[in-house]
Amino acid sequence: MNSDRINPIVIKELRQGLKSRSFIATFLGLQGAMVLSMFMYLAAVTTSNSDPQFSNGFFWFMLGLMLLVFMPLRAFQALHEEIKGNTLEMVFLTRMTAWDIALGKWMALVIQVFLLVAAVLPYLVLRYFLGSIDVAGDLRQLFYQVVLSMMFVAVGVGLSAWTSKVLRGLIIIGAIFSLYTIPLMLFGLSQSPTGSPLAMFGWIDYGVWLSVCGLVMLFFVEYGASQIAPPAENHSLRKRMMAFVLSGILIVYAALHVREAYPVLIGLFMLAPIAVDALCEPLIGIPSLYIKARKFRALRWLLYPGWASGFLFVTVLLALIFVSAFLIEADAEILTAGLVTYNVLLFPFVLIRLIPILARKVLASYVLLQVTCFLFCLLILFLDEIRFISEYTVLGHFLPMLGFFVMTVGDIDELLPVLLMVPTVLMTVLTLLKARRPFLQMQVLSKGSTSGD
Amino acid sequence: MTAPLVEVRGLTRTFGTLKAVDGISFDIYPGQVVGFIGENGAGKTTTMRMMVTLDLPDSGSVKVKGFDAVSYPNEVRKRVGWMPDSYGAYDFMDVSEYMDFFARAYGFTGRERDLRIGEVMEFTELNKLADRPVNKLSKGQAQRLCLGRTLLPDPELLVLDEPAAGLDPRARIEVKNLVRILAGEGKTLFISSHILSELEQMCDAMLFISAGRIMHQGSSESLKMKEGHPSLVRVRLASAANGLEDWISFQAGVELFERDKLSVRMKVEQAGAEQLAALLGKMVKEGFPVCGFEREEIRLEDAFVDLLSQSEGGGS
Repeated sequence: MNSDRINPIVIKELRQGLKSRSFIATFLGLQGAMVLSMFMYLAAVTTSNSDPQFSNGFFWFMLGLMLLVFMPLRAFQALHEEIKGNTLEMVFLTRMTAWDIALGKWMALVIQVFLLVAAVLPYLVLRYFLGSIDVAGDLRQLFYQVVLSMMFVAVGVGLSAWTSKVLRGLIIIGAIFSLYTIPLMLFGLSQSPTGSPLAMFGWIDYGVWLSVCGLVMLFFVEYGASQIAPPAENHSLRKRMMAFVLSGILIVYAALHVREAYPVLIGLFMLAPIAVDALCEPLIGIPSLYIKARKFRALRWLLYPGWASGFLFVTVLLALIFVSAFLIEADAEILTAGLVTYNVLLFPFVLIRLIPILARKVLASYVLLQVTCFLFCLLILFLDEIRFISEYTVLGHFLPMLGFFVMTVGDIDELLPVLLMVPTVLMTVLTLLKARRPFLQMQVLSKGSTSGD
Repeated sequence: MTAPLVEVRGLTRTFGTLKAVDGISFDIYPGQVVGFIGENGAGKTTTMRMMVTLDLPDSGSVKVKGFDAVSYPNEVRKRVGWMPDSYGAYDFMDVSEYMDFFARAYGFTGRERDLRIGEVMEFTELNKLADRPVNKLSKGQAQRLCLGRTLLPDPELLVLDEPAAGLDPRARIEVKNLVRILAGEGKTLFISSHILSELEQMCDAMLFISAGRIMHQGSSESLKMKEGHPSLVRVRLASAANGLEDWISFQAGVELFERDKLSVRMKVEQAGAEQLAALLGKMVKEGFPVCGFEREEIRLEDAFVDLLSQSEGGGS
C-alpha cells in the first residue's frame, strides 16, 4: 500500500506509539495475562472438579481491561500531550486540518487495538483446541469488545483536548470507576449462556447498533477536532448534523422494527454529549462562518456555532425525539421524560447565562453544576427516604434531575407533565431573552458585515 | 506599484487588562526583509502569532496576499512559514522522521518528498543529524531543524521569531547566515529580535514596537536621522583649548556630551551639513585649535532607546 495515502498523523503516531513505554507495557502485560489464563484454563479442563468458566472470565476480563480501559486512557492523552508539549501549532500550519489530526490520533490507537487483538488470537485458537469453547460466542464477544474499544478510544481522543484540570479530574474518576465495572461486566457477560446480550440480536439490530456506535465515534473525533480547530472552522455544523442522523436512525428503527419507543430514549444517552457541547459552545464573530452557512437557509439557525443556536438545536432535537417517541408509543411517561430531560439539560445552562462568573469556563461550570445537582438529588433522596418520594418532589426542590429518580418510583400522574411545563417555559423564555443579542449579531455577520460585534 | 504581501490594519490584542498589541498598522511588500524590533514583552510575538493565524485579534485585521487571517486561515497558512522562538519536540522521533512527518503533512508525496527533504536538510546542514532524536538536539540544532521544517513548503513569507535567541555565538552566526542566504534569494522575511545589531545589516525596513505600539517604521537610517534625535559630533583639537566647555554651553542646540584632553563630543540638535559647517566656522573663528570635525554614526540601539525615552517623556 502506498504510504502517501495514509494520514501523516497515523504514521507519526505509530512510529512514536509502538516505541512508547505505555504500549510496550500494555502489550507485554496482555501477553503475560494470556499465558496465565492458558495455564488456568489447562488446569481447569484437565482437573475434573475445576470450573473452566473462571479462567474463561479471566481471559475476557484481562482483554477488556486492556481494550476498554487502558487504550481509552491512552487516548485521553492523545491531544492533551500535543497541546501541553506545544507541538500542535506546528502541525496546524501544514495542510492538515483539525479533523485530520484528531482522526489520525484515533486511527493510530485503533490500529494498536487491532495489534493487541491480533496478539491475542493465538490464545483464542489454543483455547478452542483445549475444548469447552463456544467459538461463535467467543468471536462475538471479541467483536463486541473491539467495537466498544474503538468507541471508547474515540471518546478518549475527543475529551483529550480538555485542558481544564477539573474536567480531566472528573474523567479520571470516571475511568477509575470503569476500571472496576467494565471488565467486571465483561467477566459476567462471558459467563452468561449467550455470551453477550448481542447474541440475541438480528441483522437489523446489529446494523443499527453498529451505526450508532459509528456515529458516536465520528462525533467524538469531530468533538476533539472542534476543540483544537481555529475558530474560523464551523465544526458545530458537522456535530449537529450527526445528531440529526443518529436520531433519525433510532426513530426509524423504533417505528418500523421494534415498534417501541425505548431505542429512541436510549439514543438520548448518546445524544446528551452533543447537546451539552452545543449549549457550551462559545459565540464566534467571524463573518465567513455565517456567510458559508447561509446555504442551509432556515436550518442555519440550528447549525451556526455558539450557545445561542445550540439552544435552538437542542430544543428542536429533543422535540423531534420526544414527539417521535410519543407517536410510536403514546404515554404520559414519555412526555414526562422529554420535559425532565429538557429541564435537566437547560438548568445549568440557564444558571451560566444568568451568572457571569460561571460563564468564564462554561463547560467546567456546566459539568460541575450537573455533578452538584446529582449529589443534591442523592442527598434529598437520602433525607426524604425513597418511599416518600412522589412525582411532585421534583417541583418542590426545583432540581430537574430529581425527575429521573421520580420516574423510577412508579406510575406518573398525568398532571405532572403539565406542571413540568412551568420550569420548561420559564427557562426557555429566559434563554431566548439572553440569546436575542447573539441572534441579531449572527444576522448581521451572515450579511458579511463585521460591525455586528 | 506592487501590492503588499501583508497588510496589517489596526491590530489589537488584549490579555486581561494588558493591551499586548495596541492598534498597529503596517505593510510588508514582496521580497522585503523587515525587522521587527522591541524589548521583551513589547508585543512582537503576539503580533506575529496573529499574522500566522495562531491567535485571534480583538480588533483590526491581518491580510496575507489579500486573504484575511481570521476568515481564511487555511489560505494564509499556505503562504506563510512560521518559526517560533521555542517549540515542543516529539518523543521517540529522530530528525529524519520529523522532517518526513512534516513533509507528508505539507502534502509532499513519493520522490518529490524525498527530494524536498534532501534539499532542506542540506541547506540547514541537518544531514549529519538525521538519526539524532529531536528531543536531544542542542538549541542551535533545534533552531536549524525548526527553520528546515518552516522551509519545507517553500512559503512566500517567512515569519521568524527571535531566530538567534539563546544561541551560542557559533550557532548564532550559522542561523544568521542561513537567514542572509534566504534574504539574498529574494524571500520575504519578517524577523523579530530585541538585538538590533542582528537585524541592522540584513533588513530593508524596520518596525520598532514598544508597549504594543509601533514607535517608528522605516529603514534603520531613518530612525537614526529621525527628527528629535541629536547627532553626536566629535571635535579633535591640536592642543588643549581652555574655555571650550563654556563656549559650547552658550551655543543654542549644542550640548557637551564627553570631554577629554584633546577631543570633545557634542550633542547637536540640528546636524545638517550646513548647520555643522556653520558651527565649525564659529569654532575656528573663536580661535579653538580644531584639527578634526566629524559627525559620529549613532548606534541603532541608542536611537531606539532615545525614541523610547522620548515617547515615555511625552507621556504616550
